[in-house]
Amino acid sequence: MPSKEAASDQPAKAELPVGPVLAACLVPGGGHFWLHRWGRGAILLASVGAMFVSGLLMQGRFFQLEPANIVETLGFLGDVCSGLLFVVAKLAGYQTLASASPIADYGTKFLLVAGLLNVLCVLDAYDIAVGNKD
Amino acid sequence: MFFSHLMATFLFALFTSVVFGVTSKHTDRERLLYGAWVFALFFLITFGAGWFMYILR
Repeated sequence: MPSKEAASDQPAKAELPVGPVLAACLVPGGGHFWLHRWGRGAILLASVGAMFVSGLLMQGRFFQLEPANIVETLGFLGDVCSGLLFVVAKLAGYQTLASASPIADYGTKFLLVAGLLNVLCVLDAYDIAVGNKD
Repeated sequence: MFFSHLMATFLFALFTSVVFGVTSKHTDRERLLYGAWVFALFFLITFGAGWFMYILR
């Protein structure tokens, strides 16, 4: 049976900082705002938001959830990572034009990468919340 | 709204490098330098690859 001394040597179990992580998932830079990193949060919101809006202006398309098509499904997961930006665009009835163009293809990548960049924002907010970063 | 290929490349490099810079380093100076470095690499490599493919075609 381990002694109390040995038990106290073990590192405390880290708690998941739910608030900052959830805020970061919903809004790019939201986790930074939650943690009072106002400047960095504003820069992240502006960058990811501008990338997402650029993708919409380029008439990029959102990937669809198709379990039989792994590429399409992974793209959909990337799009969803934009959080509320994705939800608002969907609820606003955003639809692409039927005609495809190279710029629309760029737009599709912009929308996808905006979601992936938001994943970086979430991880950064987590690191700040648990004390790994300032 | 009109976006050229060059404009799309510029915007992609700008937004991505800003996020990389902000989320990667520990001090503001390191973030600025890293962001500028990533932006330059994104832009120049894409520009170079474009010319490379133009020559190959």
